[in-house]
Amino acid sequence: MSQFRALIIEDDRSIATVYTEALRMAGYEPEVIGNGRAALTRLRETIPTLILLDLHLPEVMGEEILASVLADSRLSGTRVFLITADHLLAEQMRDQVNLVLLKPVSFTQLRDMAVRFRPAA
Amino acid sequence: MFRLQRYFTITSLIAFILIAVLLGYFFRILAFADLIAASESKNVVLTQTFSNFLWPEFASFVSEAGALETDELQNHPRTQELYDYIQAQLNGLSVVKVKVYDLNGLTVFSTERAQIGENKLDNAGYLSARAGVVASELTFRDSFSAFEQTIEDRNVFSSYVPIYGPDGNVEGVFEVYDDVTPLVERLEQTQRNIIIGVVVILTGLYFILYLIVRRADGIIRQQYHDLQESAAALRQARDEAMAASQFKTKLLANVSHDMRTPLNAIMGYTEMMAEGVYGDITPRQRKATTEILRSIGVLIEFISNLLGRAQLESGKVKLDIKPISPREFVEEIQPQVEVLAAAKGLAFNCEVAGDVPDKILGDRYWLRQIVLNLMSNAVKFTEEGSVQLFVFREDSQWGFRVKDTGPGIPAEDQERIFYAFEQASNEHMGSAGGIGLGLSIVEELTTLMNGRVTIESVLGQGSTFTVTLPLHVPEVEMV
Repeated sequence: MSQFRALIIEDDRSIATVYTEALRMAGYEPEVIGNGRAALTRLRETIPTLILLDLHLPEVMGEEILASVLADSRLSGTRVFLITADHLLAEQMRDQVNLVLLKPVSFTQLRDMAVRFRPAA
Repeated sequence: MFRLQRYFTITSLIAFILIAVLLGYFFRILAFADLIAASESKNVVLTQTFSNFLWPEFASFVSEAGALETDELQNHPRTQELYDYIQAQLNGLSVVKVKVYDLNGLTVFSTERAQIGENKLDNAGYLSARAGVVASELTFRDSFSAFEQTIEDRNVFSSYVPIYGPDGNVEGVFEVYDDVTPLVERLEQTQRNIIIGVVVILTGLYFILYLIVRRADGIIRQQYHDLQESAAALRQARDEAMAASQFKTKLLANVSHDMRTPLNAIMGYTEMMAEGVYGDITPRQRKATTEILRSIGVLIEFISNLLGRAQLESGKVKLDIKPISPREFVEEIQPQVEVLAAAKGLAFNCEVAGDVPDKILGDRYWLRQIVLNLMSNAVKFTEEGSVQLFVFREDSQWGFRVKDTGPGIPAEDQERIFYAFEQASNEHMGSAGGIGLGLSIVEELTTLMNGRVTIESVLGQGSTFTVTLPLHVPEVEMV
């Protein structure tokens, strides 16, 4: 079991699998949450090392989750990667998070970036 | 709008009234001057006639009358004699009164007997005549004593006329009152006729002009109306075109967004296979995954350019200027270009010059579009050799240089390839694919960033595209 937990918030199962594999290869223990409301609940219980957040989610918008993460002092050490297909949104969010990835996200790039942002063990 | 008909009516009415009044007024002045001149000369002739007849006989009576009392003078037999003479002379003439004065201003005789004995020394007309100059005056009298009767509402023309003796000296003054009422009435009648004539002519003129003006006014109104209508039609057409353009941009944005999600999965799984997540792969399988990834790269570029093109067309590209790190920027692009270059077996290297600042102000997304387009073009048209990306700084400018070892671009095509849907005609490029959007986007984005794109190319020796941009660094960096 890795000491680095990652929360993947992504509603598309197939894409979530790609992210899971990339983060696992990067040395994380990933957990996938398929909708925004569940993500908000889960984030109150756990302190992941990395959150991978798709901004386009059903029910609760990605922005809302991001706002809640940024406001939560428990999560101040958590790295956040945002994923979006909207480049304008990507540029707006860039300063608030560790990394913004524009869809389609490259498996190798995600893996390499996750490694880079992993805290020293 | 201009109300021609109304302005014409007001202006012409004022002008016509002025013309009629002025014409009538000037006619009256001229006609009365004529009347006065004619009447005066008639009075002079009359006086001369009187004096020719009467003066030889009555001159001594007049000169000696000063010695008599008024009563004596009024009832003097010579006075009656004179009255009878004058009445006989004036029979049938329009003269209504005659007076005779001596040189001392004494009224020696008047056909109105009560006036005999009055003194006229203070009368300007009398004094003028005594000095040898005829003086006349036209007056309107409510009532006037003429011989035995009183006449009413008359225009009376009176003249003081000097009487000369045989030696040529003034010996007395005659005053003759002529009733010119018929003349004045006729003159006023003529004046009225002239005014009526003028009014009739002007009214006719007005109606002719009115018809012309009304026609012109109708044409102006029609044109104004047509103009309004075509302006409205133009506005509507413009609104429709804008709506269509916005729809197109929105549609492309949605299509682009919706295509990225499945592409994300295709790309992810292909990469996982290539990385051996699903077990070891054979060299042939690796070749296949590389080919799939290259095609995905082309597709992503195509989608980005389609969206970029639509946004440029609709003027929606707003630069989001933020501090960016050129080195990180290149690092982000590198994997994408590497995949493309590797698929064709091309060497790829990139370098950021040492003097390029750590932070530069720019729009990350659109800069990325520029570089990716140039890089993917370089890879697309190069069959062997290498592609290079070099980030440079030159004084107050910075930019990218993309160099390939491809077939080169003929000089005659070097301008044309920057237009949308145009590609170089070099036969060596053959089936490179694409619809020719990339360079037009590069050119427009560079212009939007106040920069420029240049090409250096020799056929058979490759091409170098250089994008030069003004260098702005964040203020913190300048300290």
